[in-house]
Amino acid sequence: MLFLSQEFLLFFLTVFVLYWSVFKNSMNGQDSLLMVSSIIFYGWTDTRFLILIGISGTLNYGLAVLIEQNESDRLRSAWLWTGVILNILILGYFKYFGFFYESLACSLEGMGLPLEKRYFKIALPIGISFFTFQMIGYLIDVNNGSSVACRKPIKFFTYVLYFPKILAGPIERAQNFLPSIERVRTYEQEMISDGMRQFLWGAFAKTVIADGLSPLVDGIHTDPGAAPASTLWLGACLYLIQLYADFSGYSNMAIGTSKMLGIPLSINFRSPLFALNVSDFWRRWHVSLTSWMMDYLFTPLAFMLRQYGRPGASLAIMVTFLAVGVWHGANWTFIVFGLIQGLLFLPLVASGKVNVTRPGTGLVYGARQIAAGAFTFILMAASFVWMRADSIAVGSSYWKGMVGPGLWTNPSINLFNMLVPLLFFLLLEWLGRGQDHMLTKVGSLRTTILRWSIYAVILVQIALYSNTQGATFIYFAF
Amino acid sequence: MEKNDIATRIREVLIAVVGHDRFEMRDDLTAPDVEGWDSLTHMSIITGIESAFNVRFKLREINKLRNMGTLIELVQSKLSA
Repeated sequence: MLFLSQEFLLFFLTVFVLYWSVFKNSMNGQDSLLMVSSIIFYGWTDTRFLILIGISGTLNYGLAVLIEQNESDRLRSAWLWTGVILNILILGYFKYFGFFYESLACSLEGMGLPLEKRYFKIALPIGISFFTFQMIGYLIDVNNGSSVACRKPIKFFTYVLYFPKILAGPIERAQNFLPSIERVRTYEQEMISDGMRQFLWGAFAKTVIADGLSPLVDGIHTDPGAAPASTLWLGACLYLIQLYADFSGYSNMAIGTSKMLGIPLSINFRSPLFALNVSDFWRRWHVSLTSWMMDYLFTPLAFMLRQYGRPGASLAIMVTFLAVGVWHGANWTFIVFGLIQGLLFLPLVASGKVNVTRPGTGLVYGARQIAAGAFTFILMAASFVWMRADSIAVGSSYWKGMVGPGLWTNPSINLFNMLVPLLFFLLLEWLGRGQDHMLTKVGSLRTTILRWSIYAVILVQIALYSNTQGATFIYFAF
Repeated sequence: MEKNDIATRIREVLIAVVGHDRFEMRDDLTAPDVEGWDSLTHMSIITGIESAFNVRFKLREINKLRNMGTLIELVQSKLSA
């Protein structure tokens, strides 16, 4: 069920009305409604996967209790590792088994040891990477004592299945999410209005920007070898904007939907298009995943390797970004993507300049910031080619073309139709940077006419430009 | 070593890593209160504190830290061990 579909509109309207009328004074009622509606929402995609989530959820529920009630550190660690391995095995089977088997068969064939070639078509449960990581993080937090094991099944399964976030995050930490359902949610008009604004901005980013840029970007990636360098560079920049609009659009709709139910979710993007270097970019891009990777993978690794100084930190960074790449999918292109991101980090680690919050003023400082922002954007756009490439051959061909002839020729991309919405999108992204979402400031405008004019401009653009209704979200594939 | 002396040295390490002194040392200070103290710089801060006091932490001890107060207590317990 997509956020921008008639089914979801009907579904959410029903949940919303029941939640704030029949169950408005009952925490158990609100929780039960959320759990049942989440089951319906996820089951709408494929009921088989509900069984998988049910098994995974039950396992993690029990393991967290076992971890918490054991006094012995050794036993706690044993249960924790059992949980981590089981979660990784479930994820590995559904997401990576086919890829590993085919890669192994190809390698053995190269060595003259043919393995019977079977192509596994294992259906990928939507959101599996998101909820598996959420569960692993939960077990680690319970083991560390930063979260308590939830012993109320309805609350726990609401945490696991909660429909605004189940398909593509944000990856919620238990200590953030559970307290917000430990109380009766009261109807607060301001929070609900803010949720609507955030949903509106997400819908605009998805339908107008992401879906509008999609055919332009797809055209270039079909045959990158045929395009001049200028087209490929522009195409790479457009893809980064498309991906951002697609995923931040989804995230804003998810967070906005949840706000309308009185439950705040974690922020997922902090204006990454305006990042000032690679580390700044990853602090702003898909924050719930990168902070997960930093806390649960990078920190223990860097801690273990800290006696080796910067080389140790560099190794921890490389492994972490390799994991970020592999998390996105079972394809060599994601491994290349992760390695590139790790390599881009190394100069910062080597120079000790991973932190960019050096304040300053003046024209020279401003010009430097703009140059750093432009350079980072172009660098990330070039590296994200590997996120979009269907294969190593396509990615290599794309990169070869980028350094090939035709850099100063007119790009063969007709952006004319997209120019106005694109500029409007980037302008509001710039004005809304540092805010909870891009329409936060708009919501606080005192002039009613101005506020509603901006909403009207957004709605008109959605009506005018969205011509691919029903398009799925890119991150559902991850 | 006195609690205040430990806090002063930790403050120096923090300033060296995050590059500014726009924070106030108090027991309930947490990483999000200090601009630039995030997962990536956290390990530099921890190793900086280890060098400053010539102590070694365990990962479990680091994971259990809740705020500046618990960090100062941890350093104090290491120094008196």
